[in-house]
Amino acid sequence: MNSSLDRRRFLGAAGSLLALPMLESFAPKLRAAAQTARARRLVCVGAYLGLHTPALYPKSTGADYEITPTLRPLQDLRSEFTLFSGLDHRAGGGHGNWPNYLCGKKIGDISLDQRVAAVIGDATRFPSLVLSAGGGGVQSMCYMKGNVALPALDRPSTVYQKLFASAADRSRAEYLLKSGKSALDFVTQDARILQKSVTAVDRDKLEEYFTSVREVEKRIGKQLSRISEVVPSVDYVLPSADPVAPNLMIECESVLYDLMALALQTDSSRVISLAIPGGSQVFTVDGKMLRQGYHALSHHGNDPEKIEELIEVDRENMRCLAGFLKKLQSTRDAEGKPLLDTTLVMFGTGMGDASRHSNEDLPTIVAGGGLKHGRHLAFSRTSPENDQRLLGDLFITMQRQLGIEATSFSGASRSLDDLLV
Amino acid sequence: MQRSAILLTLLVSGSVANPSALAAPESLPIHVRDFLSEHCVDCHDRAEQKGKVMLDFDKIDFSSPTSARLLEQVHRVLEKGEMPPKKKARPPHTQSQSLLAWLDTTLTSKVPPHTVTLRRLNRTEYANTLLNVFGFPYVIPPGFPADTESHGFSNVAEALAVSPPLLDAYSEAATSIADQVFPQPAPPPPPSETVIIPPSQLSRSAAYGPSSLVVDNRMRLALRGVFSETSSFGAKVSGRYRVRFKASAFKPETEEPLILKVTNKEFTIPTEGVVEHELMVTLHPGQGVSFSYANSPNRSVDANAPHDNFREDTLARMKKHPRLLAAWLPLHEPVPGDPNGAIKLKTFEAKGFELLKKAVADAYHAEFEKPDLDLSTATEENARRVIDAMLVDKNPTSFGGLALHHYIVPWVWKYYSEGPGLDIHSVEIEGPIETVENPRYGKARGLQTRLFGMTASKMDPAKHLPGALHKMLSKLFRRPPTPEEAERYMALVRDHQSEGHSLEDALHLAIRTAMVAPQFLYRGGTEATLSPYDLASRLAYFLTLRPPDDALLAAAADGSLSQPATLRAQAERLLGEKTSQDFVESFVRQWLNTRLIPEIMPDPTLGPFTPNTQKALMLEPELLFAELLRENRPISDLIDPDFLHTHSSVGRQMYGLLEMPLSSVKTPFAMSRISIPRGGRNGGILGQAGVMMATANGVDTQPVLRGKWVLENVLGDPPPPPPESVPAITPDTRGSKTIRDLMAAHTQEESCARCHLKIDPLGFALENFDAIGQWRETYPVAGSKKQKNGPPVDASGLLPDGTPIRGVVDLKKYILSDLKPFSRCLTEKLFIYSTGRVPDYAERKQLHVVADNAAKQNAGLRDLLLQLVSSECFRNL
Repeated sequence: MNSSLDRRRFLGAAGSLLALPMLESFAPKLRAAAQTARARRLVCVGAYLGLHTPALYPKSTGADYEITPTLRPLQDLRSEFTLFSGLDHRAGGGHGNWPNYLCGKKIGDISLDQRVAAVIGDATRFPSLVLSAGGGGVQSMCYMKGNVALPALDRPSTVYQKLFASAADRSRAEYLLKSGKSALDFVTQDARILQKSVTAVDRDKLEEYFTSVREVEKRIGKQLSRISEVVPSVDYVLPSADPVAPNLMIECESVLYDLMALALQTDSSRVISLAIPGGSQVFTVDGKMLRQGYHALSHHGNDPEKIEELIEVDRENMRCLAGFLKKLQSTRDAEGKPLLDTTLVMFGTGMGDASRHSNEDLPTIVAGGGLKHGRHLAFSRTSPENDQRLLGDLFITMQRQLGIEATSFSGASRSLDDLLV
Repeated sequence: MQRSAILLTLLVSGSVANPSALAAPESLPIHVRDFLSEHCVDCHDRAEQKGKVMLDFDKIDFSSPTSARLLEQVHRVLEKGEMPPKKKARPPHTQSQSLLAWLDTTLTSKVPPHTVTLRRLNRTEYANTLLNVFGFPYVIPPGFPADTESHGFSNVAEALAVSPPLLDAYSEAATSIADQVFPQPAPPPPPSETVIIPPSQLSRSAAYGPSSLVVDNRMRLALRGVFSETSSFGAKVSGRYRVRFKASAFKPETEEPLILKVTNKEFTIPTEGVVEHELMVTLHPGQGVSFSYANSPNRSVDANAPHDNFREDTLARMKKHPRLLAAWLPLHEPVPGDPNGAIKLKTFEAKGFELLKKAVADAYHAEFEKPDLDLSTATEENARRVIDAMLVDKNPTSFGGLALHHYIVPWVWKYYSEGPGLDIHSVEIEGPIETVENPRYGKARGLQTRLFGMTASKMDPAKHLPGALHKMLSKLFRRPPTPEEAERYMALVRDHQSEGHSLEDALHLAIRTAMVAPQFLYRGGTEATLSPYDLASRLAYFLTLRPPDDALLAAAADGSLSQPATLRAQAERLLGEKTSQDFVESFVRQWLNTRLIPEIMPDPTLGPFTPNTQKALMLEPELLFAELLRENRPISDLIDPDFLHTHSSVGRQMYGLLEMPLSSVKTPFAMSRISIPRGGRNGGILGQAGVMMATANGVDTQPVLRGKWVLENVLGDPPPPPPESVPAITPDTRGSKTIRDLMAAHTQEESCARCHLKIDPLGFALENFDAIGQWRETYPVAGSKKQKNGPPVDASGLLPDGTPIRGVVDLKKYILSDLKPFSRCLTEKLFIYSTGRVPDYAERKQLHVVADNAAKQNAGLRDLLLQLVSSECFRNL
């Protein structure tokens, strides 16, 4: 893969002014791939503390599963999503291993969203958006090639600003790009002067510098060529202050979902990830302040009172998700079809049971994207060896649905095509 | 191996890939050719290339780096008598000597230096440099590409690459900093408005437990030492704002009024009734108003410890949910020999704390979900015993603490329900009443003066610009700009202005440009020796990890730094500065690998390992090194000193120093220096738990890794990499085979024995240190890690020169008996660290002189370092 494209993506996500990413013409082959795709967009939501599975997983499987306490907010949407139980990456346990959710077995391997962005991302102004519902110091779950963690944008106002920058901001960005390019021209001269007076070995060493300058200049050039791209105008009204206080996380989540829907609707980006942190903040649900912090609730130690409150938080997460799915359902794409039909939305986690820090059996919900939905698909580690599916198999199917040739993902190679397509 | 492939291409005469890049190969002298064909080519011909060394050629290109490496290798093995192998005929002494002499001359005079000398600032140096130049810390953002290590150090020129993502990150840093020097003008202020903030939006909580809670539609404060902030209000612009609030006391304990601190003003709240107050505050963008209960009897830290009613509350909870208790019980076992029937959590076999937590939690869950869980055990008596067990050990990294942690953290609620507390009923914020200047503009003016000598607004470009740019470039390039550079930057600024941009924007661009320029990002020289300024940088980054200070730059400017005496004096001065502590920390952590300690997860069955243990283990070698440096104590004290620095509980646990005082959780962390007898097992880098832990993996010891580490970092005789396709041996003391049995294979196979006869005895000598560096006389009992009285540790061995040793004490004696190898090793490490490259043959010879002298006199560490700095090779490129 072309490394300059990669870098551009990285910076796009990093939200640097220098790197305000713009559209670029895209390789015809990949465009063709995207045209045969049944889904056009990918949204990956990851909850740091996962979901309390005893309240999430129905006892029965298939289409007639009973709605569980956690699934209640998604009740009306049951034909639009699939609930998976028993899938995971067969990775090690521990809180530290949470960010392997989209990476597979090893944290730092290129994550699902970035694999997809590498192929379909360049069709839009932002190859990918990496978001987090408020801060909270959670390690990034998105990695691009070369083990580079992508920092997440955690303020709704920053996300909005990035997506729908004002004319003044854009002209400043253009200025910085242009003058940044002339700075690089200038230092290339410096390096040439330096090169004349160093040893042969150091001359070779300086080649790294020249290559880097050329690559960065190329990227800036591409961004400049797209700078006049029309920024869609939207009439969304942000809250008067950013809900970034940890105890407003759910509010932040819900605003970010709104902005994500806007980003998809305006075709500003087609690949979005959203991390949901899990600190010790105390939430208010339905006007009632919970008695314990989120993180403490997750270490419920089977205490029924704590579990009850944990389920309330999980249900809040599902309520936000349902709101997002409904918005995508009611929004039409260019062909008049619901946006959800061509958007794959996954809600999952790298933590199967936060109470035990277990990374086995990662609860996963996938909606939309033209897959066959409406069922609870249960998998088991005790099933015969040749039928043991991994979360990576689901990722293979999702990529294929997006028109991307994929045959393996972090040790998985079977896909779930037989069940979902 | 890649290297040999290159060797072949470059050395086989006539097959040079790119002849234009290289000088013509020269013929070898006849006596050299004869020696090689008689004694070497049997194994090292083109066909066999034993050990991937090929010596079957009659011409050589001296300018190729691989030639130099090969010749050095030949010199080394011949000098040590390692080659030709013992079973082959010995070459006559005179022949060997004549080849050695030829190699020596050739390597000294004919082979040019071949290492990279352009040295990019590594991450630490980069951050320190920005701090130094701009006076405020630049926080390296996540995703900033990491540096690569080489030869054990993170500052070696060859490995410090520039890549496109890194250049991007540099550009981003440059823009962010230039924006602080020249911020965009403030937008026009919005009209004043009044915001009513509901109590639910007043509580901002994070970390462990909340700092306030909303109860009965009031925001309640209960703890001292934390404050709560408006969570949904942030000032849009810098200005004066009017704050009005209503507050009352909640369940006050005494008649004394409660003190409410609002941002920076204190208010008295009577024990009864609701009061209303008003104050004016200055807020900057994003800032809200904060509230705290300044005289609460309860401190926030108490909220994380078991509270007074922990016992009763837990008991009540267990009574209400008997399953909670019944599931905990099977995880406990009686404390042996306790007549009162005390219980403790069972020991779980798990490597690493995360795994341990999982093991405990899994076991608990399994019990909890058992349909036939015996609820009849959930008696009050058992509940009390479980709670006692929880309270025995509050250390969060122990079993009891683990259970406690799961119980306590959520229980902060108590303080909010029982009071005393302060309730905030409503808050109104009105403003901006008037705007004030955002402090970033004042800061920016300061930065401009720091960087350019004056603010941009006072600058008359025709008059001041040359001086201003000269000042900025001198700071960033760590030397005055050349006339050419000065002229080019003048043109950059003028051109930008003539394109219609402001002076501010033009200087903004000059900063961004200089911060991605090679002169800023790299150090190193362009001539045969370092210029005085390059030398100043080398010395400063070496001993302080920072750019040169004014005194050094002055010594560079007047040329005095080129004199060894001045350089030495400057080095001595820098060693006296506080910043030299950074050198000690950085060098010692990398040399002795103690930087790995935080990444190692110790096996809890080995013994307690708290955050304090970790801190102490890392500090011990640093304090030793620092003391030697400060007091100029002899280098032999690195091996066998008569003192040690440790933490009392670490001293007791790791070294058996039971005379050290017991410390409790409440004792503040402190390292003590104690005297010890020389010649014992304790003290010195080979007696320090941290060093021993860093050469193991936290779970078990691997003598080969330790032996290799000693060869590389103490004796300076690194073994070649192991042959491919040989699995590492993991000691399995559970089975019948001992690690010694397993490793006996090393000495039976000739190809293994060549290196392992050197490696293994050194590793075995350190077997008395377990995987966290604790002294042990026995291995654990097979199959049970808890029982430590298994087979005895046998630390004896035979060193390659035939010296028998019985363990670490003898090993230390052996090193002291001839300090030369250790002195050479240390000197070379310091050279690599300071110059960012491996010495070539000629430099190594100079270093040997420095090191051998130091060994002979058992010189002080400070003297050795200063000798190195004043040696000629320190001034080489």
